[in-house]
Amino acid sequence: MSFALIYLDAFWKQTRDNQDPSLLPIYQILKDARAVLSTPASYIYALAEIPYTTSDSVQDLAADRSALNAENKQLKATLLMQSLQVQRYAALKSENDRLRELLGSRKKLPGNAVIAEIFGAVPNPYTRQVFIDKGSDDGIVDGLGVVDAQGLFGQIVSVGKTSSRVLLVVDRDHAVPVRVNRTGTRLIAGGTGENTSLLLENVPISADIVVGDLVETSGFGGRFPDGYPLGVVSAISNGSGLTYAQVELRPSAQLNSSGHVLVIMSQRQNNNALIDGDNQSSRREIAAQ
Amino acid sequence: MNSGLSIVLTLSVLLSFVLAVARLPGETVTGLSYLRPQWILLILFFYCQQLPYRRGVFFVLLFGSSRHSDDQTTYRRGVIFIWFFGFFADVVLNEPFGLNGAIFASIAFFTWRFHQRHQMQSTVQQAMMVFLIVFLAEVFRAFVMHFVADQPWDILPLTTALSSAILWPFFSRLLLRLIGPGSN
Repeated sequence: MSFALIYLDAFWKQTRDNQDPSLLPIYQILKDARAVLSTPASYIYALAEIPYTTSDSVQDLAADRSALNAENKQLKATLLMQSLQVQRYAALKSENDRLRELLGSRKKLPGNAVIAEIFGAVPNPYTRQVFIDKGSDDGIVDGLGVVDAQGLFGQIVSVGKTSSRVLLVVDRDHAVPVRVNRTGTRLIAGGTGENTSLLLENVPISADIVVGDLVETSGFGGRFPDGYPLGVVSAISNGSGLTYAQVELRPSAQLNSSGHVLVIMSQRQNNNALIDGDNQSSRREIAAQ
Repeated sequence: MNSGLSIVLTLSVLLSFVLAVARLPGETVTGLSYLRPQWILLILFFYCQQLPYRRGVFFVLLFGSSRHSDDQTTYRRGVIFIWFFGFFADVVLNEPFGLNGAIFASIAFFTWRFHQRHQMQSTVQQAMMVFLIVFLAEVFRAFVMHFVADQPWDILPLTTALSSAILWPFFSRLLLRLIGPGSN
């Protein structure tokens, strides 16, 4: 029984050519069961976070008034600067949409986003996943892109009622279609399993990439919105004997320290048309599209 | 089963899940996670060993009913229930359905089958048994995860088994004190 379940739950989507349609309802039941059980599971993660949330609260209580005033002033200044940028962004977005309509393009810049709090990480040294406090009740679906204040953070791979699981961009199973900002070269960036690095895959030795280049999402495949920074090129190795150049990125997102992230909602329609999946093969296929 | 014991049982099972997912400060995941003991397997092994006459121990957890029977039906129900209980662990630990059920049910079957022998063993012998059980369970988990998620082989089964075995004497003594005398 266990082996049959493991096969259905994990391998079934990967062997799409040999799928038996009669097994589809069972697979759907397993998927629904996982969604239902993920709500009580999220409470376990919330309990595990209590020491950190308590220490944050204690720090807030113990913070002295002058430090809070200084921080408040700084935040107000930052907010003012960012509201200016947001106003500019709104104007640019509408202008961009108009121009794209004129060009007959259906692609639009992403609009809605839901702010979510990270409340736990999957305790497995082989995978990089975190839990956020928004689920299907908030309109979250599988495959939505997640960003933090600095750049692309990951994607939703499992949705419960009130919580979801996010696969970080640095996970070994994660791949994202990207573009080098300076030259427009399109590539695939894969995770390494380390929180501090990503690798660009199959980069020709002669590619025009230098250390310090900004790499951003290309929007290909429809899973991630276009133009979000993914990372900065931190090392290049293209010595003799190598078939491809090895290009390493330092992720822009604060994967270790981000407390809040944004789930980009407007990709939903695109994702419904894509293969629904949280396994390596389907993600790689989507990335390669 | 008295209500005090039920509370300790429920809280200790809950705490084992919390400890199994608790992250260490500083980083999301650090190298120290290799030394994380298998709290859930330890708690399962302990209660299966110490409360063998209540084979529906997880029934008691859920329904509060007292089962003193030693018959095969209750025995089978206990194993089946623990197998289902593994589903929850699968979701918590983000593993394919059925994996933890197979591990839990195997450990419960083995421990109940030989509980009298286990109870006669010294603490060191029990710790060695814990090492063996956790190591085999983790090798099985690593084997499945290797095929399912392309997870690399490394020393994780060995390190978790070692830390679980080292922890066992303290863990069992503390829990024995909590569940009180006369429970076994």
